Amino acid sequence: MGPGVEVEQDVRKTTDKLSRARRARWARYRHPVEIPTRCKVEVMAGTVPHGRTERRSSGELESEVLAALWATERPLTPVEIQTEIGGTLAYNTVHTILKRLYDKGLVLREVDGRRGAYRPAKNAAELTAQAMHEALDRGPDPIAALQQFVTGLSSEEERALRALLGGGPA
Amino acid sequence: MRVDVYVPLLLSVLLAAVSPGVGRRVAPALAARVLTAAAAVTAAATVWSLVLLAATLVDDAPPVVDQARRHGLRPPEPVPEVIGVAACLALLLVAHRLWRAARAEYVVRRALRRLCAGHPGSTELIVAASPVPQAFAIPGRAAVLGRPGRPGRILVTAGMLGALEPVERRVLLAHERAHLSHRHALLVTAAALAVAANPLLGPVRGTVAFLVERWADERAADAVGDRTATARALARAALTAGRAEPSCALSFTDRAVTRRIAALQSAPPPHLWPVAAAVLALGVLPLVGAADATDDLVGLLRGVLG
Repeated sequence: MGPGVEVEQDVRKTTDKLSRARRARWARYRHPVEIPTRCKVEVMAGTVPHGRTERRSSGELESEVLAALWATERPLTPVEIQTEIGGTLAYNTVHTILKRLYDKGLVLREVDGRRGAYRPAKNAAELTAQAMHEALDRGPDPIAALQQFVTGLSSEEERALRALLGGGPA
Repeated sequence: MRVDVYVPLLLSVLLAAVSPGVGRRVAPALAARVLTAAAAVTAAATVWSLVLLAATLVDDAPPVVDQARRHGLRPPEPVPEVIGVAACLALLLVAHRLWRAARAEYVVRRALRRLCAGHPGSTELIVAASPVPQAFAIPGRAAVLGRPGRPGRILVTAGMLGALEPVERRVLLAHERAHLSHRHALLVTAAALAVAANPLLGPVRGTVAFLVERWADERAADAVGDRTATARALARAALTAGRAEPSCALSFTDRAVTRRIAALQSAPPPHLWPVAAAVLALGVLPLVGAADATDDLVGLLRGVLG
């Protein structure tokens, strides 16, 4: 029996009467990475069926909401997030996802600014950025092996790509 | 023995030569799989051929020579001694290259694992609060022999997220998700190890690396339902990345992004099963050659040692 199993039992004993969300949070606190919280991967597609796009799982929607919050400097309300990520999602769905992200400590509620707005939590993201820069500085070897989204461009290619984007905000 | 043993070497040159063409014409998912499989088998056959060539040096071992003299036979010399010695040296080189490739792989995996520290285990997206535009997939690990598995993660920097439009962010996430769900890291690693074992296969590695990107692009285009938006996402990401570090070490460019964008602007390539089958056959032939050579060598040695 590994230490993980013990902790899991421990968690179950102590927190039997707590709500599921609190129990999960406590398990994460005790064991931040090793025990992934069992999250239901139900399909939460929008209310309006969206043409050719695939239905998105709740995990994917979490990523999209988090990405939307990180993409802008200012806090966003659920309605703004709803329009930002395509408008095909029900308001309730966005709200549920935000709550889940909040439970995981990935987003924060704006307290003194606009009520009901959310912004991303920065702590872990800053640690990751630091670790990433260290890995990048250590030399091209580890990073060259990564499957990066895009790689370098020549100036001629750059002109062609700008033309493709039609002079939009590139 | 005299010819068969060199078959894997010749065929690996052939496989390397056809791989870029196959990569351009065949659907990326199929091409990446067959090229990697063919390269892995060819590399294994090549190494085995080197082992056989090195084994021919056994003729010169004193006990074998004595035995042969006692039976009034001449020790057989299937290949010149100098080739046997060269094969020995080549094997040492291969071992060194494999070790180096495996170690590089390990270093990368460890560095990537470190990037996940502090993030809850059940989230897919990890954001790095950095203005440097970067995005990559962090492969997970399947649960093996009681060791707990790890889900794959997507790392994107705030700089990259801020530069993209909403639909383009979806493209980016879908692209990286495709890397994870189709286990592209495994294919790339397999191709890297095959090339480490047999440097003649060199071009296959670059082709497979390019093909998994194309494969993920196609999956992203399917997920978002818009090839044009996918092409625009690539263009914007590339421009952002290029502008942020104008004089970075990667001044070398293989026009990969431009080629990927061009591919998205035309129809998805066909599957072309016959070509795929031909590539696989090309991968299996070296194995046949190596097996035949093994048979010959065993026969020769049995003849001498009675």
